[in-house]
Amino acid sequence: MTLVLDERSDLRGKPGLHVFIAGASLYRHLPGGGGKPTDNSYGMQQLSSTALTGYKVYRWLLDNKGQLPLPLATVRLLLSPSPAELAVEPKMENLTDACTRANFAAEAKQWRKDAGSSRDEFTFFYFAGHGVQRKKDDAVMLLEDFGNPDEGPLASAVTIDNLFNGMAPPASPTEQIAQRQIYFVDACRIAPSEFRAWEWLDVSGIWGVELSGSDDRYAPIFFAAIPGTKAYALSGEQTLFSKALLACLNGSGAEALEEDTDGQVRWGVTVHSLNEALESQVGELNVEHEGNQKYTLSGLVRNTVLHYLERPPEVDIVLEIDPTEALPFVRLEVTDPQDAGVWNLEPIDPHPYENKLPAGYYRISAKIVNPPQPPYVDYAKWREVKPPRCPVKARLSP
Amino acid sequence: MTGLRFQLGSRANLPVSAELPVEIRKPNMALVARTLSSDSVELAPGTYFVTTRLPDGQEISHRVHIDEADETLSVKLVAEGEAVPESPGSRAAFRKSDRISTLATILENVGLQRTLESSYPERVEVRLRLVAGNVLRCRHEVLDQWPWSSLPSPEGHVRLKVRGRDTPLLAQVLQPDLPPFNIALPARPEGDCVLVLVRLLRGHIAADIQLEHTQADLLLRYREEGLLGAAEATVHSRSLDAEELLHQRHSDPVATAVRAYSLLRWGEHDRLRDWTENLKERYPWFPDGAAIRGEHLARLGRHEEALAAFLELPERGLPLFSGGVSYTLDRLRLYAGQGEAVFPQRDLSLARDAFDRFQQFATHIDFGRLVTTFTGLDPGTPNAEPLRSFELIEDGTDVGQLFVSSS
Repeated sequence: MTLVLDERSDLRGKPGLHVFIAGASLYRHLPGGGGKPTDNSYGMQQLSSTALTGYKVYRWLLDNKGQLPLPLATVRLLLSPSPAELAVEPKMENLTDACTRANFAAEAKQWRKDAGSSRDEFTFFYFAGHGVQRKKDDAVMLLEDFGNPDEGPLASAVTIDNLFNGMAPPASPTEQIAQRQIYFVDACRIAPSEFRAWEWLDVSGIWGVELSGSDDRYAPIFFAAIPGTKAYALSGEQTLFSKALLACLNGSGAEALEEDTDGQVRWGVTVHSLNEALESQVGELNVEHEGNQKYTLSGLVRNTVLHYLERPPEVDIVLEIDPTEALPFVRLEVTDPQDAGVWNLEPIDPHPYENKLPAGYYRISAKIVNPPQPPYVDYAKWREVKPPRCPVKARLSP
Repeated sequence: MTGLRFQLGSRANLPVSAELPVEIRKPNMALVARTLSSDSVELAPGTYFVTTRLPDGQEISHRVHIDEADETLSVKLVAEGEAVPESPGSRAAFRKSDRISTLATILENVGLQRTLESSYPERVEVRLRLVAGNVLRCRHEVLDQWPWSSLPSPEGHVRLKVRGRDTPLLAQVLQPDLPPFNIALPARPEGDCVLVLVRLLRGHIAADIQLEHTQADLLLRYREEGLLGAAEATVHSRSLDAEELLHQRHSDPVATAVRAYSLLRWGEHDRLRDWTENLKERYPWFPDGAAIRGEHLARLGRHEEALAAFLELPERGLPLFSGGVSYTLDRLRLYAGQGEAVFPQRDLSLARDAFDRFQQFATHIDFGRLVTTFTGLDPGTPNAEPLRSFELIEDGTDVGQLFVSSS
C-alpha cells in the first residue's frame, strides 16, 4: 500500500495537495543489499538515513496539514529502509511499498492523474536516495533495484527531467494539471568516471512526455546538491538537506505576508524565502557537521506560499560590539517600534550577546556612557529582525 | 495620502542610476508595498519601515513617520558608509565568500584542490586571450588586438573594460597547471562590459563580469546571490523595459536578454510578448536571442517554431548566458527524444546533432554561474586538462603585471 493518506472524498472535489515521497536507503544490488550483486557499484554503498528522511518529510506534512496552502488530499509514499532505520523508526515497517522502479513509475502515474483533477491542485514531490548525473545540469534518481546485473547501468533510475516534463500542462485544452508543483531532489549529483568514458546513458522514461501546451507552472526544483557535488546525511538520522528544509519550513525560512482584514499579519514560508533561508541553513549545517553541501534552485521559480505559520517565528540574534576595546564604555539598548525597551545591557556580558527575539523591527543602540571617550561613537540603527538569524555588529569606530 | 520618495546615499557604492528594490512594511511587519527606489509610493499617515536590499545581501531599514500634513517625504536609503557587511557571519558575507569560491569550484571539480592557502603570492602568472567567433562551429579566433582599457581597481582585483563586437566574445584565462577557463563577455557591439579578475589565495584567478547596463547588472547580481525577491522587483524596473531597450538609439540586447532569462526563470512568459522575436531577428550575432525565443515559444506550446529557433544556435554560437545553454540542452534533449511524431526527420536529425554538440560543452560549463563559463584551452574543444605549457604561450596579455601595479 503506497497511498498512505487519501482525503479526496472529504474534499468533495475541492483542490488539494497531492504528495509523492520516495526514499531509498536499501539498495538490493549494492554491497550488503542482499540481492544479486551488481557488476559495478560506482563506489556507492548502502545508505543510512534517506528512507528515514522520506518518512520524516511525510510525518511533517501530516503534523502540519492545517498550515499548508491547500488541504492534504493524497500522500503516496515509497520507502526502502535499511534495517538500522527500521530499528530507529519501527513505524516504517509495513507502512508502504518499496521504492523500486516499478512502484515509482506506477505511483507517479497515479499521482499525475490526481494532479490532473484541476489546475488548482498543488503537488509536492520529495526524493531522497542515491543520485548521479550523466553530464552537468542533469539529475538521475536511483531506486532500490538499481544496479541489477541483468539490466543496463541505469535501468532502475528516473531522471528529474522526465518527471518534470511529464507533469507539464497538456497540449489538449480539455486536459489540465496542477499549476503549482514543488520538487525536492535530495541526492548526490556526481558523474561516476565510467559515465564519461561511455556513450550517453539512456534512462527509460516512467512515461512518454507529450510536448506540452502553454507551460505557466509555479514549479521550483530544490536540488540538495549542485551539479558535480555530493549530498550528505547524518547517519541514522536524516539528510543534511532535509534537516535544513524542515527547519526552514518550521519558521527559519518564514517571512511576513500581507495583513488580513482583521489587521493580523500572517507569516509563511514562500518559494523565495525558502530559497534564501536554505542557503544559510545548509551553510550552518555544513559548519556544524563539517559538510560541503551546496544546494541549488532550478525549475520555474515564481513565488508562492508553501507553509503558513501560526505565529511570528523566534529569531536568533547575535549582538557584537566592534571594537571590543569599547566594551567597558557601552550600554546596549534594544527597543521595539513603539519605543518600548526590550533589552538594556550594561555591561554586555557575555559578549557577543546571543538571545532570541520574536521577528519584527527593533532599534539597536550602543551608547558610549562611561565616560564618553573618543575615538568611539554611538551606534543606532533599525534592524529588520527576521529568520533565520540576525547578526548585528555595532561599529563604534568613527 | 503622502508621496514617499527614495534617494540613494552618496556612499552606496552603487551607480546613481541604480534602482534598488524597496519594501515598505507596517511596524507589525505587514507588507504594504514592494517597489523600486526610482518610484514613489502613496501612503496613508502612520509609521512605516522602509527596507532596501543591496546586491551583497545586506538589508538597511529606516523608520518613517508620515503626518497628515506631509505632501511628500524623502528617505535616504543608504547612509554614508553603509555599504559594508555588518558582520563576517552575516548572510551577505557568507554569500560573498561563497561566490568568490564559485570559480574555484569549477576548477576543483576538474582537479584543482589547492585554493585554501594563507598568503597571496607577490607575482601572479596569468595571461588573458580574447576569443571572437562561434565556438560551436569552431569558427573562432584569438584576436591579436585586445581592445580593453584598465579601470581603477581595489587591491587584488583587475578590472578591464572590453568593447563589444557583432560576434560572441570570450575571455580566456590561462594559468600554469590549471585548466584554462573561458568566460563570455556579454557586450553589445557599440557598448562594453567589464571583466573583473580577482586574485584568490595562492595566486589563482577568479573572473566575474559587470554589465554595462546598471539595472541589468544589478538583476544579474541579485540572481547570482539567490535574492529572488529583490531580483523579482528589479526585473520590473522601467529601465529594463524591453520595448524601450530594443528600440532606443543605443539598443541593448544584452540587458534585454538578462530580463528575458529572469522572466523565463520565474515562469512569467506572458510578460515576454513578441519582443523576444525582435531580440532574435534584430541581432543575428547574438546567440541568446535564439535561445530565449526558442524557450519562449516552447513555453507557449509552439514547439515546431521553438525547434526552428534553437536550430539557429549552431550558426550563431554558444549562448553568452548559461541559462541559454541550459534551456537549449533541455529542449533539444526533449525534442530529439520525444518529437518523432511532431517534427520532420530532417529537423530531428539536426536537433540530435546540435544536442550532441551542446553536450560536449555541458560537461565543462559551470551552471552555477549566470554568465557562460567553461574550461578548455581550445574553446571549441572544451575539456578539463590543466595547462602544462604556460611558458610556451606567447600571445595574449600578461595580466599578472596588472595585479602588481594595481596593488
